[in-house]
Amino acid sequence: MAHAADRRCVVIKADVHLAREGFTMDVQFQAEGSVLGVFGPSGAGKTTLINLIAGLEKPHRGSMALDQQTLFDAAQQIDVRTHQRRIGVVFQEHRLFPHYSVTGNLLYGARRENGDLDRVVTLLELSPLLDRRINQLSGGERQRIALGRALLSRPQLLLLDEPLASLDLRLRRQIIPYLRRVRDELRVPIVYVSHDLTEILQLTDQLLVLERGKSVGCGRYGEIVHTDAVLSVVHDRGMNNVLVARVLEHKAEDGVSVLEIGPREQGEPTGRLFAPLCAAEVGATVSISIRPWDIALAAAPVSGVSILNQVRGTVLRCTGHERRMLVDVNIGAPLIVEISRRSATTLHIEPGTPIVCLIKSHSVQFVGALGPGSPQ
Amino acid sequence: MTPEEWSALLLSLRVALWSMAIMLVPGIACAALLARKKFPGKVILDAAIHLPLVLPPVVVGYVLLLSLGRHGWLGGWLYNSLGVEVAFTWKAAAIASAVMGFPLLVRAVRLAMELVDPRLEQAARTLGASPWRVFATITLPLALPGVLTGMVLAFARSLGEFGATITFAGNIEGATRTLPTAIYTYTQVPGGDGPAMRLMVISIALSFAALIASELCSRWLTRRIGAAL
Repeated sequence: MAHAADRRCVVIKADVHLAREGFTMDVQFQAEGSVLGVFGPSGAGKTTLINLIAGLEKPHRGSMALDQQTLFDAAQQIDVRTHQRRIGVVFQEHRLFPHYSVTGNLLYGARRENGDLDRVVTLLELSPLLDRRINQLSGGERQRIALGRALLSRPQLLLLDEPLASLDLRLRRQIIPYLRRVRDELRVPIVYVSHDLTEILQLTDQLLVLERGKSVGCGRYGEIVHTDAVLSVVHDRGMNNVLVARVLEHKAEDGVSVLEIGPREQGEPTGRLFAPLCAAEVGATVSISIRPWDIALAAAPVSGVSILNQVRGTVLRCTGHERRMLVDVNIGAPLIVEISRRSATTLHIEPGTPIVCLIKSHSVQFVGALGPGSPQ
Repeated sequence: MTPEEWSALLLSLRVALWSMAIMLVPGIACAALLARKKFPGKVILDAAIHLPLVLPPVVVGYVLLLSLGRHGWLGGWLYNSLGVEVAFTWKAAAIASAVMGFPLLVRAVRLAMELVDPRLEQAARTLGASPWRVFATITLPLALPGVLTGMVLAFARSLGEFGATITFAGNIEGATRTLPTAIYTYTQVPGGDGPAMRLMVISIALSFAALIASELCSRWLTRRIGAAL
């Protein structure tokens, strides 16, 4: 597994204004990281943002820069043209060229002297598809070809505009591991747009949240979710905790699998987590999700309850919002917990308090395997 | 068939092929402009291109004669500086055909280009393709069935072109007498029914063959391209 430090990071600075009939976009943000997730409800301007970064649409005012390179600056009259930006895009629809073969599509933007084809073909497991025609490919296969095609143009940044939106859940789960490989092995920085927060959180915790053409927050998910503006966008649209876990053993007779949370290199094994029986092999690394409101907090371990998971942690932070409290608990990995204000007052929750998280095993959901090909 | 009839047939084919050669590149360029670009005066360009479709062909021929004849502003220059004479030669017939067939070519190509998904062009641009490369590798190949249709329409139009040709190129036996002018001439003389009939059958067969060939070709292309859309 690649370490986070190996990933190539990119700094995106944007301050753009665009007015179209019935839609105004006014976005300021500065993001840095290997993967930036862009989240927002439909109509928030996610695709417009992708088009602006790729140069497919032109802002009326403002500026945009990638690392040190200015892509657009209205004041200085700079507007680098799309084909000179070296920004790859995978669109919602595959947009493969119907009159080219699969290989022809892959090589369309390839720089001549490179031997990347083999590498990308291996990485995305495309070799069985090379001899087929575009119309003989399934939706997931098409998106993998589109991803390979974008990668072969050696982009300095890869934009993914809801590349999984047209796929069913099973296919989505199959593709996310490939995206993780792109991030870790090809070291291409990614902007990943989705209206599915769980999907984004499997790739990154760096988030830009858009709503009605405005950026309402940009930063680490666990950080910005504590602001009212972000919380109001995220809360009813799939707010979630996504964690990496290893499968320790299956207890078929009990109907549960036993997991261990958190990347091992962080040390401090966090104890066990019971989850519904899953099909992943023992030793496999998987992504799991737990809804913030499916976690209860207790001052001390509780006896005589059906809840199987009682995970010890420390309160990192807690913030109050209209009716609820958001509590960040460190259980080896950060966990966002939502409780009522009354519960928070009763338990005297404040940063530094040791706490026990109570999680029903059936609140733990498997959202994806970490490596391509590992069974679900 | 008599030598005169043969010469009319061969001349017609030559004129049709040359007229196509003349108009293909400007036709595709105009179609691309109209299909993909916004610019001031677009309506006027569009109307100008379509003018030969609605004008009496004799008027088109006469305009050509006035401008490209030996005393015309362009024809005079061609004659005096290059020694090229256009009017009343087979070249005039080819030019007259090209002007008359031009709107048909442009219309067909433009329609086909408008149907090419601009999102594919965008995708090509994000892959580093310059506007020229996008046009040559995406827009044009995907519009190819339309280009083909337009070419056949223009070709057939050229085979049948009469009014502009006879005004601008004349009806000189062996030099500018194409199939339609030959047929017209034969119908004007006693005993010309036989040759007129033969040339008529040839005309119908040629146009028919061209239309069928284009349809088959276009279907094949569409199958190749469209299957994946």
